[in-house]
Amino acid sequence: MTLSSLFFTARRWGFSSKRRASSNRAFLASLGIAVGVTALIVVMGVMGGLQNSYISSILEISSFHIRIETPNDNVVPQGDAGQTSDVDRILSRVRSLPGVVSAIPFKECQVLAVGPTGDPVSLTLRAMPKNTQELDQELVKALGLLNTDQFPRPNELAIGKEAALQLGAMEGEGSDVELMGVAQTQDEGVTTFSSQLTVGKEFSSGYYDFDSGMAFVSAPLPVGLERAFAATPTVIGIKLKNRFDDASMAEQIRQLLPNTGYALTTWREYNRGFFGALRTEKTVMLLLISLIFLVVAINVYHSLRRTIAMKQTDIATLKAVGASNRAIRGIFAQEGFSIGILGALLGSVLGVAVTRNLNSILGWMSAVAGTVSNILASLGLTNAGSYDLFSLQGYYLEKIPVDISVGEIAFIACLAIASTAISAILASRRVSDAIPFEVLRNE
Amino acid sequence: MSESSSDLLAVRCNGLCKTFFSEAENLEVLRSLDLQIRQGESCAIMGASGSGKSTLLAILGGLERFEKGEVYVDGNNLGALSEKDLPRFRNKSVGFVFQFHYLLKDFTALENVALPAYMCGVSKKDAWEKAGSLLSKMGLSNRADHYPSELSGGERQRAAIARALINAPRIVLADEPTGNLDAANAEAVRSLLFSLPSMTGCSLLVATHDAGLASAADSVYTLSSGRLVRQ
Repeated sequence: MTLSSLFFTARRWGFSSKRRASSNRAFLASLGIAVGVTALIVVMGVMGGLQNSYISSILEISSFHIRIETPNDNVVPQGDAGQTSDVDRILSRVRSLPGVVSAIPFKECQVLAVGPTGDPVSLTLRAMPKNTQELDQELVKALGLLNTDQFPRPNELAIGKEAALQLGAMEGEGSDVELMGVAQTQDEGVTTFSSQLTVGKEFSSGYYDFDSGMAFVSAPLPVGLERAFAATPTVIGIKLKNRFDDASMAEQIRQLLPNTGYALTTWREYNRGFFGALRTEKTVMLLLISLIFLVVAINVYHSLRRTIAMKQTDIATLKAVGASNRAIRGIFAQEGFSIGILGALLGSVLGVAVTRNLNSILGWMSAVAGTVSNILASLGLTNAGSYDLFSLQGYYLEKIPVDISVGEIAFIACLAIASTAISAILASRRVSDAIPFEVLRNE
Repeated sequence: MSESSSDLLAVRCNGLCKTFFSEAENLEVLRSLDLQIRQGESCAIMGASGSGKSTLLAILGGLERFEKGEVYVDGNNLGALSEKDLPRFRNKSVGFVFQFHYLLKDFTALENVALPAYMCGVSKKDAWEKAGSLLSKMGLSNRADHYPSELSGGERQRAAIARALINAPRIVLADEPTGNLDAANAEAVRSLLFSLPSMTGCSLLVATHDAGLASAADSVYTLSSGRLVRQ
C-alpha cells in the first residue's frame, strides 16, 4: 500500500470522515491534546519566568557568576586605584580577562538592626567599595537603583524596602537604624559592636529575601562597624559575559590566584541546592501536567480500538483487495499522529498567545470577577468590598513574569505527538485480529 | 515459484487438502482436490452449504492457507508465498466478488473502485480515470460520487465487480455473487460477470447454489465430500 493511498484512507476514516462520529472523535482528541499543550506552555512559561527572575536576582546580587573567597586579610575593600594588596592585584588580573564583565570586592556579616518601630530585624550587611556603581552596574540595576547618584553613600545605609518598612526607617525621613552584633578576632576574641546609621537609600530587587534581609554600607566603614567586618574574608564577585562559561572561566581565573587560601566557587556550585530544587520543581510540574497527555492517550487508544473493532469488515475488505496488516496499522497510526500534530500545533499557538498576554488576560479576568462581585454585592448576595481575583502583591510581584524557550515548546509539542502516536500504534495492533476469510464469511 | 510450463492455466490445484481444526472436531473440507482453469475460461462450482466452496475460493484468492497439495494461481505457487507476499498477490492477480458487496462505507463508489489500483502505486489521477471508465462500463457513471449507502443492491454489486477488475486480475473469484439480489439485479450481475472473460480476458470462478447462474459457465463442477466432480 503506497503512502499516499494510506494517507487517503486515513483521512477518510479520521478527520474528514463522512461519519460525523469519526471526525468529531478525532477533533475532540486533538482538542484534548491542545488543552494539555496550552496548559503546559503557560505553566512552564510562568514557572520559567519566576525562576529566571529569582535566578537573575541571585546571580546579580548574591552569588555572582564566580566568587573568590580570599584569606581573611582584615582589610576592608576600598575600591580605590593605587592599592597594592593581593586582592587588588587579583582584581586587576581578573578584570583584564576577556569574558569578564566585572569584578568587585566586598565583605559580608550578619547584624541585628533596630529602628524606630523597635522591632529587631536580622540583616546581611555587605560592605562595598565606594565606587560600586562604576564597578558593577548590573548589581545596582538588579537592586532597582539604576538612576541613583551613588550607591552606597558613605556613612549611610542602603536597605531593602521590606526591611525598611519593618524597621520603620524609610528613605528620606532621616531615620536612624542601630546595627549591632558579635564579632570574633584573633586579637580581641569575641566582642560586640554597634553603630548607628541613617537610611539613605531603599532598594527593591523584586526578590523578597533580599528586600527583607539585606543592607549595604560603603567604605570607608562607619565608626563601630570596622570590628564587624574584621573577622570576615574579602570576597571577589565576578560577572561573566556568558554565565554558562563559568567552568572554563573558573579554570582561567584559578591560574591567576596564589596557590593557597583562595576558594573559588562558580554560580552552579554556590546555588546547587536552590537551583536544583527549582529544576526539580519544574520537572515535577511538567510530569504532573503531562498526565493530561496520558489521559488523552488512553482516550485515543480506547477510541481507536473501538473504531478498529467496528471496522473489522472494512479492514478485512482492505486486506482482501491487497492491503497488508502493516499498511492498515499505518492507517490508524497516521490518525494518531494527525491528532497529536493538530493538537500540538493548536496548543502551541494558543499557549504562546496566552503566555504572551497573560497579564492582560488576568487583568481582564480580574476586572470581570470584580464586576460580578460588585453586582452580587449590590443584590445583597455577597459582602461589599473590593475583590481581587489575582492579588500579585500577595505574591510579591508587580506582574507575572513569563519566560519560555522555543526548545521547551518543541519538547512539549513532541511529548503530545508522541503520546497519541504511541497510543495509536498500540491500538492498531488489533488490525491483525481481522482475518479476511473469517470476517467476510461471517458477515 | 512461477509455473513456467503452463502459462495458459490461470488456476491449477493438485491434491489440495484443507482441514479446519477445532477442539470439538477436525473438519476435513477439501480432500486431495484437483482443478484446472484455463485463461479466459469461466467455471462454476456448485455444492451444498458447508461443502467447502467458499473455502476453495478463499484458498485460491490467498485468503486462507492449506495443509497439503499444490496451488498455482496466475503462475504463483500459493503454498510458497509468504505472508508478506500475499497482499501483493491478492492486489494484482485476483479480483474478489462476494455475496455481500463489502464496499467501504466512508468511500464513494469511484473511490472504492479506484482504491486497489491506488494502493499498488498507480497515480491517483490514473486510478480515478480507470475507475471512472470501469464504472461507466458497469452502467454506474452517474453514481460514481455516491456512497454505498446511496446505491441500490444491484448497483453496489456492480461497483464491487468494477473494484474486482481495476487491476486487471488473471482470475475473478465470485462467491455467491447474486445471493443477495432480486431476480432482475441477479440477471444483470450474471450477464455482467460472464461477459468478463470475453471482455477482459480474465478467468472466472463462481461458487453458487444457483443452477441457473452456474449454467452460464464454460465448465461446472460439484463439490462434494471434499472433491470436485465435473458435470
